[in-house]
Amino acid sequence: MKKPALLAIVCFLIVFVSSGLMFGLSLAVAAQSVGGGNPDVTAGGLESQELHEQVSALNMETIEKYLSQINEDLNTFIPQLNLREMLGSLARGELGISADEVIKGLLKYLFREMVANSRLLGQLLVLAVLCAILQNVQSAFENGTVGKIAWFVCFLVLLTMALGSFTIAIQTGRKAIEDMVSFMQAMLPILITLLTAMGNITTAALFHPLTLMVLSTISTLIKNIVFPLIFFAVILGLANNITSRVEVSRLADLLKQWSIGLLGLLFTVFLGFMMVQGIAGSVADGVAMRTAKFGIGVFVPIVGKLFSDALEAVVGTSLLLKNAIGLIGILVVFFICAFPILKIISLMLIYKIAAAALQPVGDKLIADSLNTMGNSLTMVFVAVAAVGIMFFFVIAIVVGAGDFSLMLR
Amino acid sequence: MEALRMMVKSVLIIVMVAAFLEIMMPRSDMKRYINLIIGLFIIVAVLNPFLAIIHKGFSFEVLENLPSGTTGDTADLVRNGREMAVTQRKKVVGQYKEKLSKQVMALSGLYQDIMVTGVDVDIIEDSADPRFGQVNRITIQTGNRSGRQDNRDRNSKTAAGEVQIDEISVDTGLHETENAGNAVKNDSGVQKIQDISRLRDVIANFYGLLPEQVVIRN
Repeated sequence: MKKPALLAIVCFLIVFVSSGLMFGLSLAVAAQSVGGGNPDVTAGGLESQELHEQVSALNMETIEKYLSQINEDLNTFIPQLNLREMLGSLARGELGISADEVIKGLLKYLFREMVANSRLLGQLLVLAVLCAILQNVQSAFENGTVGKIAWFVCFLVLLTMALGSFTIAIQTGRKAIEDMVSFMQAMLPILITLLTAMGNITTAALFHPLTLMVLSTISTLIKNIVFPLIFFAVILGLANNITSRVEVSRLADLLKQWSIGLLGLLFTVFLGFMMVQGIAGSVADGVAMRTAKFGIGVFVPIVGKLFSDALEAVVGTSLLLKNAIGLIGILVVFFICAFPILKIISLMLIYKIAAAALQPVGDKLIADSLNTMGNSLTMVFVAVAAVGIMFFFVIAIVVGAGDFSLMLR
Repeated sequence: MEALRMMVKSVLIIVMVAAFLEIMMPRSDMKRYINLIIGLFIIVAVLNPFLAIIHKGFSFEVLENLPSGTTGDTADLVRNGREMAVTQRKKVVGQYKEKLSKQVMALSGLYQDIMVTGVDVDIIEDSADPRFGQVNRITIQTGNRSGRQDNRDRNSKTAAGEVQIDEISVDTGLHETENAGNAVKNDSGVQKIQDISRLRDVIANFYGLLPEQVVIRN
């Protein structure tokens, strides 16, 4: 792999790991801030009448459906997720999920995937050793061509097996992206409704169609362009190892660079778009509400404060609900994204271990081929993680937009 | 992407053919010619998608199925949000009125002779009105200090459908009250009217209202 590409991936990994750590910390802080904002509401948790009424007014079925699906798929790895219980916990300033349990669940899943993929590792090792034996006993055959053909067939079988699991990894990544998009299509309307209820009509009107369009577009482009480019780069990288007569490594590198470049470009465009849109909408709403509040303050000097207090209490409930739902959304996106990523990482580790183990016994071509596949899986992992982080940002910005407007008031 | 897929497929086939040829003819004199021909095939396979673009123009097949923003859904969401906002505004107004009533009752407590049984606050509730939240009128319901039992009796009778509330409309202290003769017949009555008048002035001044906007009923 070329140095710039490696550097980009390393940078991304650093960002991803640090954002993961920040995610953990922010969850704890956010849970505290979500519940800590409104003592009147938090006192009773979800039993608080105001909160209960607002929750009932929203259509939460789709989110509950996703949560039950996650509970069903990952019940042995993560604690059970219940929307209403989590809302109640968040209203009290608790997260409702232990970070220890989540980390243990993730490690347990990674270990399970490693064990499940160890069969593939065994097959790769056996075939590679067979290739090595065939290569070494070529001279024993009467005609050297027979030994070469046997080696070649063995090598092709090995590559086919490796490519099969690589395809599974790409499909896992694609499914994770599709799930995240579907989940966002279910969750964003709820957040937008709450934003509108809080008076952020400009933000809501701007956010919903454009954000969904940009998210879906970027996800579709990553699924339909970046993933195929990575796959083609892998195939060409392997083709380059089949024979020393034809060199197509530059072409493989070109496709790989395109995929990295496109991913970076999409990510940059997305971030720029979200930042400008979020701030513009919030400022417009914040200024509008501030003008109204200023009017009340001027004309009703004494009771204006009473009015503000009543407004803060009711709008605070919406704010609490919006932040709590946003936080649950971030958790769900994290779970949708994290487990496929672990599956991809486990395959990547298998390829890397196989390449490292085979280098002394096998020939260079096989080790290089497996190493190439391991590196390309890193690209798949980065693409899925990038989409996950994009969704994380979307939720954070939508939640933050309402808070920002309230702050401007 | 289809063109790229075809290119990769072609290159892979050429590489496989080259590999077989290498195995079949390891020491052939034709090796260098084969290398050249294979190389030419690779060039053609790689350039083919670019030539296709030049000849047929760029295909937007990947961009054709991209999702578009649906403004209809957004309108629905905004409408739902507005409905929620209206409900919330009603609650805000309700809480505001309640707090204001309590404040008025607390202010009334300054006058020991007047027993306030209820306060009704009328405000401008239209959020589109620039005066939204301003107080229109404060109506204070007073009872007799003589005993709570009277009040209870009165309330029970009222509940039974008998209307027994007399209205005492009091102008500022300098004017003669219209119903003074009917409502107050002794010194304590005069004192009470004076207290009511003062209370009205205090409340009107405190909230920046006109005296006519404060109504005290007995």
